[in-house]
Amino acid sequence: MVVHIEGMDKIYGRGDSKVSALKKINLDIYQGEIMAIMGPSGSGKSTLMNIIGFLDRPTFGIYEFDGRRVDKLNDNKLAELRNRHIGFVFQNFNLLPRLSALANVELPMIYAGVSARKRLRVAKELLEVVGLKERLKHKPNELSGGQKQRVAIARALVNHPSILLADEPTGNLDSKSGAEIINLFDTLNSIGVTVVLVTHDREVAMKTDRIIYLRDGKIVSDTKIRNLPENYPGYALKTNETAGMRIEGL
Amino acid sequence: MLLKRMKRQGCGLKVFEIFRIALRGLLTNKLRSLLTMLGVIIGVGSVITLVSIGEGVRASVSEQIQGLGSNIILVTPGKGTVGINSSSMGGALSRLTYDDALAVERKAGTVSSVAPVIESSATVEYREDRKFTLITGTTESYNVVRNAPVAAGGFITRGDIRSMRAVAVVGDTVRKNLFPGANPLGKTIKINNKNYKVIGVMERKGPTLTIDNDDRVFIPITVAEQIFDTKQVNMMFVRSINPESVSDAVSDTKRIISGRHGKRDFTVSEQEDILDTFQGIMGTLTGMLGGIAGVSLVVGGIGIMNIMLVTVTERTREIGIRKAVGAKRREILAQFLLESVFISALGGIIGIGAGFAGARALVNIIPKLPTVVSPWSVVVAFLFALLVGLFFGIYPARKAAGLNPIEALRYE
Repeated sequence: MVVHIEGMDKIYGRGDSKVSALKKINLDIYQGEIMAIMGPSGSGKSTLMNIIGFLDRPTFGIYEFDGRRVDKLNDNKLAELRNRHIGFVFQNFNLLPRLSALANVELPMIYAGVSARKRLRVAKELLEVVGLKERLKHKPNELSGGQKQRVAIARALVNHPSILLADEPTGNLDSKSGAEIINLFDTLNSIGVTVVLVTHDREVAMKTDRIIYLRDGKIVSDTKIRNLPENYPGYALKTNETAGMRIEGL
Repeated sequence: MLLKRMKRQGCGLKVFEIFRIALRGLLTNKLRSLLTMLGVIIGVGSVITLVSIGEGVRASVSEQIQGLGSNIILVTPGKGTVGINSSSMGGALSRLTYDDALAVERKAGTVSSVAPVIESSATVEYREDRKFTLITGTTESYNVVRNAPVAAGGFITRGDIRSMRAVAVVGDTVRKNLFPGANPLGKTIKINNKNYKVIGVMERKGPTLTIDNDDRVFIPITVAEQIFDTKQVNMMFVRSINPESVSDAVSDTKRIISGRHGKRDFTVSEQEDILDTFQGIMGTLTGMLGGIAGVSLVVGGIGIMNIMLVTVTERTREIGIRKAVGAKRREILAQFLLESVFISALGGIIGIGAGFAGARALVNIIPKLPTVVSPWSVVVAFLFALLVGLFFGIYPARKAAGLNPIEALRYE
């Protein structure tokens, strides 16, 4: 179990303007899963994703990550966890516009204190994995939407995250490149990457193992689409030395 | 402990990377960075230039004062600031007279000679040429005490003084102006319409700042008393028999003149006192000039803060992205703080160049205004610029570091 959430509330504001974004959430996410979080806008999908990804803290309740309580950690510790264990993919890509694809992918490694030489090697390898071998020096505005999202995925994978969190990753893409991105997530999942997708798209959600449906801050359904095999290979990413080894067989 | 923690996180590496990120931030908007820097450049440049004026004046005048000789004592009428008071500036409180000078010279064993001086401006004429100049009534001791030899002819003698002879010794500038290419010795000049025979020409002394020391005419003190209708001596120069006996000469002079006046209504100062007082005044003045220029440096700092706040707002999304991929508060803080320090440091370095150029340009524009760039002004101005960059960078950098990553990522 990567994520264990129990009785979690998220409340914004105080007094009269108090808004409960999440109410009594219980959720376990397993190693090697690929799951979708669905629900109408304002149902708390993004809030839940932000908390899972350590961008935000729960107001009440328990959050255990890799068996460790993390709901009360300070900003520095959360930044460290984001850096080491979380890969984010956003709807609007969120690449730094002045940096090349390569430099964008290197970014998380800078904050992890990885040496320049290793950063370059890993970034090159991962861009190759996502199919952008020929676009290393291109700036984001010289790339198509699908290519930008591939750069973002490469960046998310760079520190061997425990979970890949994707918030509407196909929202800004045409259906063809959207499908390609989903296939990429699928491929990554097949080699053991745990993926959580926030999506509106039923078709996208149906490709995952499990769908969580949120309404008004509550989980109203938790459905398994595919059965996880017993003793799922689990492929602990962090046990592998380099990204290069990990992606063999892609 | 902190160091250990930093090491564990590969912080040396990170510091270098954050350095690079900050530098790149600066280079992405070159014109804006340069304009922001301009405030610091002007600030540092003007501190260095203005202080160089003060230092130049101080050095040049100090040299002149030291030129008096270490065994010279200055006696001025009235009790006041050393060397400078209302009477020496032309006031009328004086009870210091030629007789006081004679008494000191006669009675004080530690004193070798005394040169009293009565000074006033007057018109000097030779044939068609006329000139407004400083007339100095003094005694035969003057050229010994002031170390001012004649270039030709002789100086005023004791006999000239006793007999109140209408004789004059001209300074180099007066000679050049009234007798261009001619020998003035033996010629007759008119001072306030009275005839004087030129008996000597002084050696050239050169100017002190804007004061021309050679624009003078010397006449016997007794004649000066008569034509200016005064017994007041503006000041007297007392020379002790040797440098070691200066303090004895000071007390002898004080005792003798006090005895004659019945009270201490005069000021006795050694060359060192004058130098100290003058340097004190110049120090204050220089500090003031530097301080005024320093204000512009602070204004430059406000400019930095202004631009950094704009930069932080513009780059809100970038900050969000960096935080999402794991940048810590202090890493964002360092990035923006370094950027503002870079601006001020680079501005400071260019400003030092501007300061040197300004000091040099001033000498070219006003040749008599000496400028000396002092190393301490360069160091202080640069460090102050750095401090300004750091201080005014803190608020914007804290603002950047404190941004909520979720909101920052949503920022358009």
